Amino acid sequence: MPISLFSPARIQYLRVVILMVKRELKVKYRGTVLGYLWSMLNPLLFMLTISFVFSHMMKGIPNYNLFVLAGILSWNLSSVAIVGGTHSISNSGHLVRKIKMPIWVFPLVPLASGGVNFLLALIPFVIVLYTSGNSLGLGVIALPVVFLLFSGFLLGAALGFSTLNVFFKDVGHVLEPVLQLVFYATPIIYDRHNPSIPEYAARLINLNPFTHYIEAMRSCLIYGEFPSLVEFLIMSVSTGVSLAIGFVIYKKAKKKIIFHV
Amino acid sequence: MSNPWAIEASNITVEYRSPKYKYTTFKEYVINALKGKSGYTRHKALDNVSIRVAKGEAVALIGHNGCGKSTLLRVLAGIIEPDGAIVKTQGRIAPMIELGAGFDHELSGTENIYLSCTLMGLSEAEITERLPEIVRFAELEEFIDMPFKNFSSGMQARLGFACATAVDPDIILADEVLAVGDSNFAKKCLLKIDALRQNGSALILVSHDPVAVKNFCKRAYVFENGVLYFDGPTENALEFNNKIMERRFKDSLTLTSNYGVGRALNHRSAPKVEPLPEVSRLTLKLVQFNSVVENLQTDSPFSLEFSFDLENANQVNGTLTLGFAIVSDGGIRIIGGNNSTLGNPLVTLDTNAAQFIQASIEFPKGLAELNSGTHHLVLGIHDSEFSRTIFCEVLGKITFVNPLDKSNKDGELINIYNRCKMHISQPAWRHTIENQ
Repeated sequence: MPISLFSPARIQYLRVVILMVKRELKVKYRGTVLGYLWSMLNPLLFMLTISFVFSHMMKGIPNYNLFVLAGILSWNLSSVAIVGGTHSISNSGHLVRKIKMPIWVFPLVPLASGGVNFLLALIPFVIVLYTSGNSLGLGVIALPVVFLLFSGFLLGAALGFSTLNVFFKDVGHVLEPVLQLVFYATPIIYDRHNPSIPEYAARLINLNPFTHYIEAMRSCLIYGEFPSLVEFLIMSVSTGVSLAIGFVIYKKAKKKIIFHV
Repeated sequence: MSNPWAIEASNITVEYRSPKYKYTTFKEYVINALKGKSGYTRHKALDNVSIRVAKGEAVALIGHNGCGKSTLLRVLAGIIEPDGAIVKTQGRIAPMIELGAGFDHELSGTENIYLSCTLMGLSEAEITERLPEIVRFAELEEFIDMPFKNFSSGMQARLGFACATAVDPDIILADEVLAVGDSNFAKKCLLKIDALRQNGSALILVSHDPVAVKNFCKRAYVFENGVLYFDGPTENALEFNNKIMERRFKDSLTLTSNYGVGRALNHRSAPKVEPLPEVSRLTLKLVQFNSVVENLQTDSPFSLEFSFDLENANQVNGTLTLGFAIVSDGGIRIIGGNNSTLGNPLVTLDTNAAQFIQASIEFPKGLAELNSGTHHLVLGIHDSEFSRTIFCEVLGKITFVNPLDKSNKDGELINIYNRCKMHISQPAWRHTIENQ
């Protein structure tokens, strides 16, 4: 490839992404009284609901509030990036057909706006962390790395799904139930080391890449520990595979998208 | 400068493939595949097109709707990247393919200026510097912070034009965008484009307005069905294009009169295999045409007289039909007929000798009154079955002047139509009459 990853043209389009993310956030909170505060309140409310319903069942998990909140922040990021990403190209037909713009911009926008939301939601997380008598540990230094690996994984998925969705609208429809399944197959509201989980399920949960990203997030955010080297290896491989598959699908279909969207 | 060309593009072939068996879901795709129903109907929007535009040159793309002009603009703008094509452009491109297409309806005018200009390659600082000028040019000072969706369509187009021209483009791609807003603003746009061109921007103009094309461009390309047919001086290109238009018009007339509208539509969507420049199989030489019809008086019945020679008449056997039509600038047929519908016998050709035909058409009172404006007189010769058009040509312009410009009433038109008379004098034909 003669073009480097950060050619001037790419940087120009990254600025377009920033403008589009601003637009997305603006539209999302338009007409609300609290505005951006909702990015912080939403996960908190979800945390309260889950803790209220499940806390007596999950007695084995210390700081269940924090446990759920860290999980839900990461999950929100992934569901926004994947669901929004999948529909991003097919919903932007008018732009794809009329504006010179690389198509990868579209699936990148939901991921980026999800990322902004994630960062905003870290504020209430830290507040909850400190009010419940805990504090951030050294592990938080690894958070940016985990975050980038996770984003890369999601970008690969969004790129692949959004491309496929242009040709087969089924992708968008099947996504919702599948994500629901993934939600339960990821230790977001439960601990995967719970002895009541049958072995086959535990194995499945272990195979689910989301598990590793979310647990890594937790170890950085709550336990103040660096994720283990093995965890980093698993995450790097998942990210690499996801990006590779996503880019291959995108590259193959890139020129045809305009005729189908 | 080493490279004099702003645009060098070659081997552009764009093929739209629509699946013969439409699928939008995976299930349908699989079922179709299992049934062996796969494959595409291919439609070539551009067929091996190559063009070159020099820096500072203005070139027009002309051709009827759907001939590939806009697709070519989209290729040059980099929106479509056809396989195998080589598209080299120098400098910044201002694509005015659809003004306001890249704007977001939820954002304000200002935010849209940033978005649009970023897409065209300006940095944030450059945009901030040019912002007041853009707003001033678009005449949107009071509204610029309103959401774009609340703009009127004229305001949207004005902003689009202002952004596209504010980036100091090296190449302007303009698709029917010269008539932006009210006449004042349109004039401003024309001046702006002219000024940019003086500064060395190349302009590619797509327009159906021959006046605009002539004013801006010395050179033009003519397209038909995705094929580049003509490259040369604008005057000649327009003439060539008129020939194509007449031909298409005549095709649609003939088919409509014979098979009804349905067949005619089918015919038009089918790919045309005939090569174009050959207009007729029979060489007809027009000897004389009475064109003293400019600025015809209203209210008075008038008649047209013309005569022509038929050479190579031996290529046609049997009888001929002589038809005429008056067609408005917009391509609407105002009135028309032929010697058989107007009560004359068919013209019989002596296949051995060159023929000299004299004909006159009488138009009744009221026709001019109902259809003021400049129209084209089309004359055609078909064989008696209408299966072949031998000759079809726009012979001249007729200007109907009418201060009252009444509305066009169908009923009256039919009456007028019935009152048209046609006289044809031709030795062979006279001979037939005498025999009867």
